[in-house]
Amino acid sequence: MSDDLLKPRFPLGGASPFRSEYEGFSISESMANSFVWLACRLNRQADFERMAREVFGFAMPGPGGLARRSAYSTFWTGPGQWMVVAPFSCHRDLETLMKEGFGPSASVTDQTDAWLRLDLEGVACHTVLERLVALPLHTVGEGSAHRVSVHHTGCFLGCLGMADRYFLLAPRSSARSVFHALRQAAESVLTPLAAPRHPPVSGLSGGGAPHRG
Amino acid sequence: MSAPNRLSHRLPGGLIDRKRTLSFRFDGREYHGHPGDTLASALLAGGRMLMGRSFKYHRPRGPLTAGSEEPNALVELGGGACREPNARATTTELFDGLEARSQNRWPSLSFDVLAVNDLLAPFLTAGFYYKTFMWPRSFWDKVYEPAIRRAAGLGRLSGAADPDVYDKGFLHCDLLVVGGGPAGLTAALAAARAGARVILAEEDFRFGGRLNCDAGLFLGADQQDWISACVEELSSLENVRLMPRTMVFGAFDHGIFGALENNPPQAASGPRQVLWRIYARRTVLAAGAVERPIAFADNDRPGIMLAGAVRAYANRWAVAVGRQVVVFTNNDDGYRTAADLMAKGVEVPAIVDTRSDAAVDVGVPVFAGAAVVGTSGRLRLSGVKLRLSSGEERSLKCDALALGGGWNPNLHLTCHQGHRPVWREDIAAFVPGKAGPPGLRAAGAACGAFSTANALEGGRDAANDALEDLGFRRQDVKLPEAEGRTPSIVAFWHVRSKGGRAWVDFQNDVTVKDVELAHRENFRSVEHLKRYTTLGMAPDQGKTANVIGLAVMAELSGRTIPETGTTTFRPPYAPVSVAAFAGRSTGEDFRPRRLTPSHDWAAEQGAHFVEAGLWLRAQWFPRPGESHWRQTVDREVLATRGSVGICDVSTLGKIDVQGTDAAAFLNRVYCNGFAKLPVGRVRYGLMLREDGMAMDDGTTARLAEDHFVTTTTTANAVAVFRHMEFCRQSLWPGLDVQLVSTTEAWAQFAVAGPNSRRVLQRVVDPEFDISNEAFPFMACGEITVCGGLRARLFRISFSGELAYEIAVPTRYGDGLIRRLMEAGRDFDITPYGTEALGVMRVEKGHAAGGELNGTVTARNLGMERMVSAKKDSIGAPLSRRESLSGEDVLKLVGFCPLDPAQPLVAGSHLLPEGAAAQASNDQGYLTSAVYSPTLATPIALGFLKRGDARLGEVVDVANPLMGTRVRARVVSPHFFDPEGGRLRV
Amino acid sequence: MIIEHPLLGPRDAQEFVYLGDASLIDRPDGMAEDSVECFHDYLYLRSNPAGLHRELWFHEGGDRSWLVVTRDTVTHEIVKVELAADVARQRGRCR
Repeated sequence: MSDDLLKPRFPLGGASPFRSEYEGFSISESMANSFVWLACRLNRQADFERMAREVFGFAMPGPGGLARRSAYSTFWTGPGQWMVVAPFSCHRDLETLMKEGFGPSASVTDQTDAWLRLDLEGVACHTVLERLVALPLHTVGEGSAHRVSVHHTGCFLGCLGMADRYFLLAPRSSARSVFHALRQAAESVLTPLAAPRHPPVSGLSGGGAPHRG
Repeated sequence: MSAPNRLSHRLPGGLIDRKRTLSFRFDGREYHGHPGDTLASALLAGGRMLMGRSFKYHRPRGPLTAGSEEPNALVELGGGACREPNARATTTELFDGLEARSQNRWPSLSFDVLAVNDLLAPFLTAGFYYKTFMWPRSFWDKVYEPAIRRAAGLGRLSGAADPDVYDKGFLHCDLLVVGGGPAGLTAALAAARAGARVILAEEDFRFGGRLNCDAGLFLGADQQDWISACVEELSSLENVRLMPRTMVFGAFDHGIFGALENNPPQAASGPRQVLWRIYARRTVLAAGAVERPIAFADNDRPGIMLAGAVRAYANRWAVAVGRQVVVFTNNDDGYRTAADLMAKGVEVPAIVDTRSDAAVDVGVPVFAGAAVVGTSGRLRLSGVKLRLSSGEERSLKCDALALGGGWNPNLHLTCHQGHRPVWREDIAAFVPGKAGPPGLRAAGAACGAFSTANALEGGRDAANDALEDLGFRRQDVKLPEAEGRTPSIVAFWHVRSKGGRAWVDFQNDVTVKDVELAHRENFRSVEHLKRYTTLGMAPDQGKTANVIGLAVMAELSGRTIPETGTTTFRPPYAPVSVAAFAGRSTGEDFRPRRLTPSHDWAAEQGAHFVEAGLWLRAQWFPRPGESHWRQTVDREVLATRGSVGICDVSTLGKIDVQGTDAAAFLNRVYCNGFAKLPVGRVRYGLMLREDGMAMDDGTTARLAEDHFVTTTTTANAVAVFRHMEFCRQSLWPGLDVQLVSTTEAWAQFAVAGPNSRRVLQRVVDPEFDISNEAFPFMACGEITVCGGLRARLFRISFSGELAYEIAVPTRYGDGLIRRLMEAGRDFDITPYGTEALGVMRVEKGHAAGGELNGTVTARNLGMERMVSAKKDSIGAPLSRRESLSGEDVLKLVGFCPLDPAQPLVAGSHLLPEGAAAQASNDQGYLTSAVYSPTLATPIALGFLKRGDARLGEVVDVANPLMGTRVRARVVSPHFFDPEGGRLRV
Repeated sequence: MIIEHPLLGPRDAQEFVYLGDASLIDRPDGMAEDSVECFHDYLYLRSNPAGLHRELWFHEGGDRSWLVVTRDTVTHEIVKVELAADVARQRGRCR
């Protein structure tokens, strides 16, 4: 027996990240971040806000907002709830860090492996995204993040640059479907720059036994 | 080879690019046209007038219009799987190599056998089918309907999967302008200059609307120069999106519009169509107007066309639709057609004007107060018969007739939310009423402003009002000088004459006689008229027909048109293919797929997968030599019960419940108690709906005083989370509790069987003692595995064996299952799928989806003692209803067939032994049925009246669908190890 | 339809899941003597107005807030949108 077997897998199923490039647009899978869900406990708002400034150096963003400073970024996910993002390399156990930082003022839940993160870059971001999400993209500037539906799947879309840098968080189990939808939308409107590498196909049947009759 | 166009109908000028010639085929014959042509204009230019057969009578037909309201010229485009039926030749943009065929004819368009229907017309009146094919009843499915379907109808689908790609998308704007004619262009210009986000959607491939079709609308400037300047300016602006070939088909609540964008024909890339959902803060409807014909005997012959269309073919497409074109009109607009034709050198033998005070000095003979009472020519019009004001009849030779019956504003979108148009006598047309969709305003011809000057101003003003509303500045758009006369009209709908049929609805073959019949039979309301005669029910939705039908009915019933009613307009404005609504959601992409962390590993093992909601789960893992799934499943069950099995259970919903009131919250959500669950322990919970029915079940683990992890069934994960958020936010906002789903974050595997602990001990880090004493049944804890990887371990069992569920961060799921398979190799560890999982849970009598079917209570499940009376919880009060605890209450019990060779089938009904299979004898039903390899017999769970008191009794298990009836003994639902000794070792 | 979310602004109704009458917030006391009668009325008796109707919508494709939407059932006009948690607090459900 060897513990080499316990290798992490990327959400799209590979041992390395996937990337697709088009003229003016690219999609890159990333596993570089830890995610933690943070919720303010009832009647602990003052403590929570104080802790947030101590831990992050900024106030928690409001509805639809995303705030960034040094290693941390956080975005609003619901009333009194945020997602905290930090580099995986130096914040492997972000959950413990946040529990220590916020003490009894917050509920903390690790979400690192719950999401596929795709970085979307290029001048054609809007051209692709308008075929996928109902959000008025012109209002989603830097410093905002919203839950969106991509191919019937609840995702988060955050803006990191003006209109040319976004990240999309998709539920990990739906990673291949969402990635596929993004690539199809991109192929509708843009020219691919290289032959793309495809994640494993997920067919209904893999086995030899006859189907239940 | 193509026959030379002996009689080319091309005129000079037009908006076609004569430098390029496009060749195309219609019914196998080659024709030529130019970029800018439609299929109809190119066919007309080639001298081809006959383009289709009518729906019911198979009458020969040529185009009536030059737009999307076309009722006659429907053709099939393309071939093979790409074949598209019912395309309107009048809007089909011509391209090189286009293949089109006529439809609804056999063997050919000019000789159609079913034209015999036309001779039978006296019998084929409205309501004919309802009255005729009534007897014998059994003939309907087998004889009448197939025959009628063959005879009537439109084009045929290819029957093959559509190979084209369709996209969907979302657009947002301050101002949506529907229609790119004079009103639409000035509206877009005003808004664009104000800096608003503007979308200009035009159905046609060319902007300009009637400016492209009519000559002399501008008094100085060149119409085409002005259009070009507008389009150029608009396309240079970042805040404007110009969308030609885009039909806005529906106006939905709160400024949401549906629009269908067509890719240009033969575009190098991109989907064929895009269905856009447009969110508009304000909308200007500048969709123009549609002309209507006049009903008179045989008014449907090829060559009879709307006056505006005749003009459009002459001016825009440089086509003379005939050599001698008579004009028949009730308004001034017909004169414009005559003038434009004469200016192009086409002979106009006469203008027949129904108005007795018609002008006479226009350089053409004008018959005032006259009407066309008949026509001749079979495949092409050869002459018309007039009745003059004196009553005298006269024949005129002509090969085309231009019909000007007045114009109907294209107000459809203003009515899509149930608003009604109002009648304006002065223009004899319906116009949008005062009340309409909020934020939407019609301008130009769409609101009855028929002069060009009014259209230009109306568009600008409507846009400016919208801009002001939105906080933008009004813009002073300089307008070109344009004609400002509203054509005068005297309403005239149909010509009374003896004999001959006068068409009202060309597409559905509804004539004045049919309307009269409906009136005689008292189908006088507009809605009855429509359904009785099928007026307005064809794909064109009666765009050219409805008002005439209404007017005829008004006349017959002695009411005014507004008294008679208005038609109802519903989306779509024009047909939209189902493929466009489906978009990308077809085949494998019909819906998203959720994959388990061990999916790729399972696929490598050759697993057979099953869809469970959106999830794909391994159903069983066949081994070489197994020829039936049952063999595989039996082996998996026996291997698990005999040694150890492993199954991916990551699909179960997992909800993190945290907060100082987390325990109190769960206590209210579950019917059983959670307040006293110690940290490090797991408890089974039953969740009820407020009506007392079981909603879901699962285990909840307490990881800390203020931290629980609750699990849901795979199917109900979303609904349970929603329900718990409802309880948290709407019922008990004073509890300190926070909820988040962690389903995706963990890969979780069930390791079950007598050797499960031994396998796990090889991966769990040694500092964690998982012996029976240290980690008993229903224990849980946070541990590490494989040298420091954090994990959660739960000692819970669905199989009834000594079992655990182990969870690691999802990225390690694939690694962990490979590691566990290796660790358990010497125990012959066996992966099992959902089928074996199901067999084992039935053997244990655990309720699952089949039992939790929304109609069962805790009492039905035999769990009434779980419903705590010491506390309030969702569903507890109503589960105590008297009506749910009657004597005959259904109880969950088990069933074994007396003859083990006879299988039981879920869904079968339970009857007293020997009783007739009828509802009055029904005593319950089976919910789950499997073959138990452990007990070597089929077994089943089901609900039986007073079942718990009838153990040992024999009942009949009847399945009338499969024609089976099996005798079975009622037994305890706990077939296997009822004391649960195996769980606790 | 567009629902004007009190925190997020206009959102397509497609992002929401409908539940029903907002009176579901007023859950009776399950431990009261007459709880079966009270719950019967609470669960099964509804008015069905042609006009303004207060109803519960869940922003499932958004921030997971339950909202109380006041909507005209005749015109679909939405005249008010509140967080259900705020409504519940106002109605004294903070016990």
